[in-house]
Amino acid sequence: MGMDPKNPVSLLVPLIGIALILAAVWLTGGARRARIDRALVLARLSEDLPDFAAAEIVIDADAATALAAGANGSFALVFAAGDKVVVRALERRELRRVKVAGDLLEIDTSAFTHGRFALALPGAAAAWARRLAAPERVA
Amino acid sequence: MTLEPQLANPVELAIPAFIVLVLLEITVAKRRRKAAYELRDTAASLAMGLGNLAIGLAAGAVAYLALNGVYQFRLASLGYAWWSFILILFAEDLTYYWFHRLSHRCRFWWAAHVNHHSSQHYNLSTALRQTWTGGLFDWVLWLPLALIGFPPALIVFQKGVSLVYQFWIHTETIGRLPRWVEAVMNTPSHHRVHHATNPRYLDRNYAGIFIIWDRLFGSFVAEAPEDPCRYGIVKNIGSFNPLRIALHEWVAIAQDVTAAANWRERLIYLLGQPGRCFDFSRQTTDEIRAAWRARGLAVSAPADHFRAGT
Repeated sequence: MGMDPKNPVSLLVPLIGIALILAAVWLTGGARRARIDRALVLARLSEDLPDFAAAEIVIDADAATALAAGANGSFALVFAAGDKVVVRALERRELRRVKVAGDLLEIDTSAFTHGRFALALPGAAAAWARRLAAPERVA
Repeated sequence: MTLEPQLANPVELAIPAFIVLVLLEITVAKRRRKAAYELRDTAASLAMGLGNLAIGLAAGAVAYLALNGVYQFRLASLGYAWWSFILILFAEDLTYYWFHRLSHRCRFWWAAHVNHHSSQHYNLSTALRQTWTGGLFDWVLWLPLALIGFPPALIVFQKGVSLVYQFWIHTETIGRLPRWVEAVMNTPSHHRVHHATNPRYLDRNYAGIFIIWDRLFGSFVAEAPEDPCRYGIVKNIGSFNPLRIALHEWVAIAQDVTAAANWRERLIYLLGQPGRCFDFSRQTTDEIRAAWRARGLAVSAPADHFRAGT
């Protein structure tokens, strides 16, 4: 059966298929998120940014995002995207705004794909914001 | 025999089979306790597939008109004889190989193709994560087939056959196939390599149906059990928004071209190798592989030296 724009039944096939597939993924436990820990951060940094030597790592309260400070003053973000993890070198030219709201550290970057990060860092948000904003930071 | 057959669209015919096979893979993965599918990733892939289908209806019409235009100046009339179907199978697959290679080595083409690689999962739904922008211009590479004398309907038919073939190789459910199959055909193992970001696998195995082109043109790498594939792109996007998936590299090109210092830089940002830059903020796949090899040599150097001394 081919897809014919004039035949609504043929157009329904992909839509019903999509619904069935998503239902099957959900029913088999597909709605999950990666939980970030120190070992995972180090492993992924060594794979994706092999030249980045992490000197300090902070992981937010819900284990969704981590911020790593490099030995040379650079920074990297490691964050969950579904059940996978994404690593970003935090380039200075990409950094738009760093804001602290209570225990929340908000990082706004110019990245089109995933530009905003909010890390719950009880007691540490302000200190990390200062470090990110420090002028001597090397990108 | 030069019949003018009414050739079906293989992709449209295959849609029900695609659905059944994805459902089957989900079931097999669950039984094997493998986390093959994630909800938002799958939804994004399916949305990309649906968008590609919709855009393809319009873009396909333009492509078909162009193929017909060029066909008027054909060098030969190959028609629909049985051997034409054999010839187009290889001729289209060779065209696909070079299209695919260009799509990884030139940023303008990569911008349209990158979305297919943007999932960090590798399953049958990844096969459906198709381009939204490539159909607007990628057909120009198939025009020479019409100039040679393949009927446009036959070219479009074979493109569909190739796309349907490439669906089933997007899976981790199938390991290695018999040696003769792995030697000639593009297989799940070969295509896993193509989707991997491990330095040794980057920009390798461009084949559509036959892996022979990669072996012939020096772009073949076999899957190595000691280096399991990590899927995605060098800078993973971390987004499931179909618009961002479809357009992110175009936006990145626009940002780079806007910020470029001169026309030479602008041209390189547009047509150079993906990752090429002038501020050392990112690397091309060649540079990534060279750095990986250098690190490997640095690690192995003392042992080699020891062996040489004994």
